[in-house]
Amino acid sequence: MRMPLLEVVDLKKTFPVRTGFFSGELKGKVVHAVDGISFKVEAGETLGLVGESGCGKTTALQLMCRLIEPTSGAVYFEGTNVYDLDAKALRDVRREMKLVFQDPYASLNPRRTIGNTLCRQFTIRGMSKVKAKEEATGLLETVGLLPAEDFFARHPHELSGGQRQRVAVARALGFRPKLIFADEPVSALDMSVRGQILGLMKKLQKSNGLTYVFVTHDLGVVRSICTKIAVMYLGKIVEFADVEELFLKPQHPYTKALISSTPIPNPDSRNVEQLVLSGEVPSPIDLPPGCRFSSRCPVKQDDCVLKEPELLEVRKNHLVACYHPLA
Amino acid sequence: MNSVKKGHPTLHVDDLHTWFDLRAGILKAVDGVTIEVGEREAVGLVGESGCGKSVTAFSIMGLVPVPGKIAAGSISFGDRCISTLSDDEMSKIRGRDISMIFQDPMTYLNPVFSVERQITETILLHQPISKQEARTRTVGLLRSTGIPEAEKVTKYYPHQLSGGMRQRVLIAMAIACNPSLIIADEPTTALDVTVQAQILRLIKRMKEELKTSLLLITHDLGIVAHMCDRVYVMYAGKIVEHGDVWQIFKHAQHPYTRGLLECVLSIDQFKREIRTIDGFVPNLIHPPSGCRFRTRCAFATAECSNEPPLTQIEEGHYLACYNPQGDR
Repeated sequence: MRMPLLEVVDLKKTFPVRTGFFSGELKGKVVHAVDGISFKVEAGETLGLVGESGCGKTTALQLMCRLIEPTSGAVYFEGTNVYDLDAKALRDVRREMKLVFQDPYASLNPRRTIGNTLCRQFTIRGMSKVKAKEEATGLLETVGLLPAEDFFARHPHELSGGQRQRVAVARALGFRPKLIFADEPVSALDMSVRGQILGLMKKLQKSNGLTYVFVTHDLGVVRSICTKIAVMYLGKIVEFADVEELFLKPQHPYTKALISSTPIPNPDSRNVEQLVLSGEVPSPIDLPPGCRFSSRCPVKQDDCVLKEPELLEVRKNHLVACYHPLA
Repeated sequence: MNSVKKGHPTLHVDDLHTWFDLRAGILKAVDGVTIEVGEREAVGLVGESGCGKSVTAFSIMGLVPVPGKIAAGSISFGDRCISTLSDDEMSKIRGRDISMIFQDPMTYLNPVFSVERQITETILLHQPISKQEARTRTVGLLRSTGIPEAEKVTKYYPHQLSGGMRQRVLIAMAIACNPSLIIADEPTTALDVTVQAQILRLIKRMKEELKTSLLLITHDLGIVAHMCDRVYVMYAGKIVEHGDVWQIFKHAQHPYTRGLLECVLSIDQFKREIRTIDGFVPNLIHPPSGCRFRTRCAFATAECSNEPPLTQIEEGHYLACYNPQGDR
């Protein structure tokens, strides 16, 4: 059997709770940021990790790149557990898996020129300056910042938001990575620019054979770029399916509510009955008993609060964690 | 319901110019904008960031930040001109007749005062009632916005509330004096979709119950399609197209409106080619001459170097473009 590019196995991360700046940690109280997630990403796929703020999607992403250490669980990149690697081996693996962040204003150093930002990853690994400049120029051309020499000398403040995000993508492309993690890569951008960046990422996926893991709360973005979707709620995956299957036949009431809450830009849709959830995401410190969505679920029944439902396959490649999936 | 009802519209912004006198030159953020909001009407104002939507809203509220000023044009509310009022007179209208809901409630709530104090302040400023009555009304207002345990929440400070709750408090404050117009500037942009749906539903319900008009400023065309009767599309300080929601969403004629509609990443369409509008909003200190969109427009002709006037192309549907796109 072929090895998946990325495999996440029962990944957990809890954070201790502090009540105040000087007070200690509360005994026995922890934030269940990521609470046992497992999935596989095959090469060439684009996985969308969606959910509302506070559902643990960004923590999950940080865990996968080992920016933070997990409480338990494993992440296999091409069969190697990234948590078993020493610092040097981890550096090597990180050439293969890169990150693009949400806010290109924050993720680029304002004091460095674009050229300097892009060259650094090469020179730091011993490449000559001339060669690094060649590589960096190539990267700028790949992401459509032309003429590259012109952008090379500029500072981030001289670029628009879209151009900055292109630089962030260019930086991620150095050393031809296999996997790119993108944390809300277009949320900070204007709608007319979003399409440009997503289009670019789609094009790069084809030309460079990239695999993406997208973290986003925007279902429109997911629908236009992802092949698979994992819906997260309070640190757990509640539904996992191919994009089309998920949008056409959502099984989990939470997924259904997310889709139904997203306004469609067509006035005809205003008469369609929306499934509006009541309340907000509960605290990840004191989780509701049983199914963690039960406190907001419109189709909740008595058995939902007894035991947590497991993520089970209801159809081929379609997993749902719900006792009463929708028809 | 294509055009504004007869008589005085609730809000009439006439040829508004709001300019910012900067060292680099005069930034014409709003440059000749005419908007009407009729009685009990919900009107949307859409466009990319930096096209002057929020400055329009601040101009109406009389809150243009320094060094901005209303250089020309007038704003009337009912039968009264409000753009020439003094600060004192304007502060009597603000909150009582026109109120505003902002994008980021944390910035607009005062962190050191309790929810109760902030809402009663608004009420007491405009209405001759006792503190006790104002407090009772505050609880009622919070309850009507769907806040559970409203009595308890009145004692809270903004940091103790979630984003959705804060927005509900801001809405309670906005409706405290039964205004006839609510201006909502990106009211749900900072919220999650499930909470956004709740807040939009709440704004819609409040609008019906209180019989107010709504001016909704947003970049999200999905929200406009859901909430508004009429839509104004703004680009680089000017209105380029306006009409009722069906005309704009089904028969948009301006290449910019078309572009906006095509680049929306909607969940109801699957994996088509992602369309975009190339380039970005021009610098408004030195905007392009003629049609301001022509630098990004795929259909621009020589004629476009003269500014196209906003003309009616069908009942209630206005367009400023020499090359209308026809029907899709």
